[in-house]
Amino acid sequence: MAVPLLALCTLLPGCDRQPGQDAAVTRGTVESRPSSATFPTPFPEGEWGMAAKDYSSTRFSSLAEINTSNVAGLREVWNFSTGVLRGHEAAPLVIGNTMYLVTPYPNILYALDLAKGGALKWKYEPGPSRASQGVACCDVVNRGVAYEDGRIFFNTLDVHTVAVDAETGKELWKVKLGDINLGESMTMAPLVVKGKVLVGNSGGEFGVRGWLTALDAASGSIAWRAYHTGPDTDVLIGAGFMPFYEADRSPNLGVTTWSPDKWKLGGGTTWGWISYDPDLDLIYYGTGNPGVWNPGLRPGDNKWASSIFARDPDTGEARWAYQWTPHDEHDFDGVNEQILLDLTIGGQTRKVLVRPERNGFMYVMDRATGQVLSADPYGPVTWAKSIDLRTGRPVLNEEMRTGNRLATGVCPASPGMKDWQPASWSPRTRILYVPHNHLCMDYQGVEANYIAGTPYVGANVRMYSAAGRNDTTHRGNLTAWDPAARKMAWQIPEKFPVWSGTVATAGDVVFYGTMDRWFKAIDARSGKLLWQKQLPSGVIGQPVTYLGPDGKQYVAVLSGVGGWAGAAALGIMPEEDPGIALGFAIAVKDLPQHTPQGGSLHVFALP
Amino acid sequence: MCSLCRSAACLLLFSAACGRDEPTRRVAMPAHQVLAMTSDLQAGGDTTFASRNPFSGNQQALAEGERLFIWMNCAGCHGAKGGGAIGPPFRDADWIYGDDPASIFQSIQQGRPNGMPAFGLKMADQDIWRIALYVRSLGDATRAPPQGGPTESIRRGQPGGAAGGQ
Repeated sequence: MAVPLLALCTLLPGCDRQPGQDAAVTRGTVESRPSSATFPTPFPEGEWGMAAKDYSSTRFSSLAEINTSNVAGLREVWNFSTGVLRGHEAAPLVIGNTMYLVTPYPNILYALDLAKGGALKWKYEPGPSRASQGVACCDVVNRGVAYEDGRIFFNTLDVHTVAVDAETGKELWKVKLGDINLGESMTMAPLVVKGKVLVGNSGGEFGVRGWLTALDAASGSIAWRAYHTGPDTDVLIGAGFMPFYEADRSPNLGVTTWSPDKWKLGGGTTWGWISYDPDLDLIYYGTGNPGVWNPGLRPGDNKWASSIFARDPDTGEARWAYQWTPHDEHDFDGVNEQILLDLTIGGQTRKVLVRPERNGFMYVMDRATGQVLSADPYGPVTWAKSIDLRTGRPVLNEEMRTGNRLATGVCPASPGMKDWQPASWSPRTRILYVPHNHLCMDYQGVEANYIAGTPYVGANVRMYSAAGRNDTTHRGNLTAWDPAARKMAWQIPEKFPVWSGTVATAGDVVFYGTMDRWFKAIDARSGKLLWQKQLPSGVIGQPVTYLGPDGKQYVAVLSGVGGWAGAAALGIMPEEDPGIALGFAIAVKDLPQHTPQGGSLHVFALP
Repeated sequence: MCSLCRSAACLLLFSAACGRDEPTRRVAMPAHQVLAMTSDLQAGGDTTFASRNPFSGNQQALAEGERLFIWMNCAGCHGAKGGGAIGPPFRDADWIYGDDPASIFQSIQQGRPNGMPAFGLKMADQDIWRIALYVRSLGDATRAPPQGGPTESIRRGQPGGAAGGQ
């Protein structure tokens, strides 16, 4: 039976708004049971309180006013120019009657008044160092803000985290967490858990040593920091560490799985997504590629790059860890989203996380223990034959190994079967909606020279469509994946990698965007295209949906092509220099014909 | 007075006085003997500044410049063949900070505001000239800049560009 959300709300931290402010939840057509994510969301259902919608990262909304029978009539009701170009990857947040969005560098934070048609309430300009643009590997993006207790939190490209008063836009605190002269930057959206703002660094292409830092939400002081390479004391691995696989239990693997001192440039950065289980009291997140793309320069498993950690949010202590891709040879960062679900597996209900992993396998893991229950390819995979469930380790295809040799026909390409762009889950269809890539590559390790503050890569890469080296019709997919059945339900091929996020709704509609400027609504059960609108620039942002002050359902998304996939549209010359943008630009060299740069927010509703 | 003299020009002007007062403080500056000039106006009538690349026309220096372009990770941001990526491309007609040899030299030596690091303290001037020679050779005056490049945003003075921002 439906549980009144207001009653739930009083039990949860952060749910301290007045009854009048929650009234929006009861207007319109809203499914009043909590989202079928394992836990109730800490925000009223009509809001979008964190980038992933809830701690389970479902990106599912119970709003059902917009549904399969009426979405064809959806129209744009207002828009807003961010005044900035480059890749717009953020998820707008909606708290009460205010929408918050952060732009790519220079990371302007806007607060828009939804009661006045999106009029500007205030803007805050953090003024990041201009030089930080020089250490962003993959465009100067920012994936969004976080909110708790009247404060907005976000990261700036030059490694600062900022807290701003959500009502007034006044800066509350700003802390510097790293150094661009070491090649560090920040692009991720923070997550707030139990009064701690969780933030991580970027820079795996600059020999940066990765970390996750917890900041006190009130003061910005550092509560704890966990590194991802180096001795156990730095990685916050202690007596409570219980990795599932025996080989992961030796001490100081963050040192011993590297040639001497290479862990100091070891990568394992933290630029993706964090989930949280309040019952187990564990946060889950992944780490980026090991430092230097040429694996020949770093023998060993290179722990804990390309891994996932489960940690205690209060202390940062690791409970378990697992390495998706030991001794990564293809730039398979392990930072994608992990969706926390209860799935029936083998007749039992299991508490799992589902990870559409960069390396091409869809993992289902027991999130209490770190055991891999299944790992199935969700597209063409050639670098590995399978994941051995006894050991948790990939079974490699020797021909696809790189190092100081050329490997051809490696699938997926370095951006993976899926990069950062997040999937969504519908508890109604029990389907995962996965926006992703359809690419393969040739990859050769070459000599690399470490100079702090400059790229430390050492690889020549050329990517191309998985459909064929010269194919320009099919380089991405929107895949509907059934995690219980462990297979694809259906798939929508796209011309370009689908680099946007997705949102699933109780109206059985799924929204996503394409780099050639389309914002689309599809039927969540059949995949049929129900509605689309062409926007000014390619869509790589995360769509959201919310209740406006008038009780109507709205859908919002950012337009503005860029990111790693969009580099070809940012004024570079891949036909003259095919290796640029780490080999991605040549694979989408036709992108500028389909989209200019842009920067705008677009909001849609039914008439 | 000598403690105020941090530039070669200053030392040249005051070297006589410094020599009498503190002979041990006289400093030769081998790494910065050949300075680049991007202005037609020189103070003090000094003519030790260079406006052309000392390696102009030197094929061996060009090959060395290409080697250094890779080794110093210029390729990591600008592309192995100057097609651009994190940093702007060199293979077109558009040069944000000037395409004359001295301007390219200074861009490398001093860095530039939107993410070009300063290499001047880490490389001998002769090597910077070699790289500048190679970089200049990549340019193509007949090639219009590709759409959406950083020069457009800088010239429009948007946040972060040379004309605006911090």
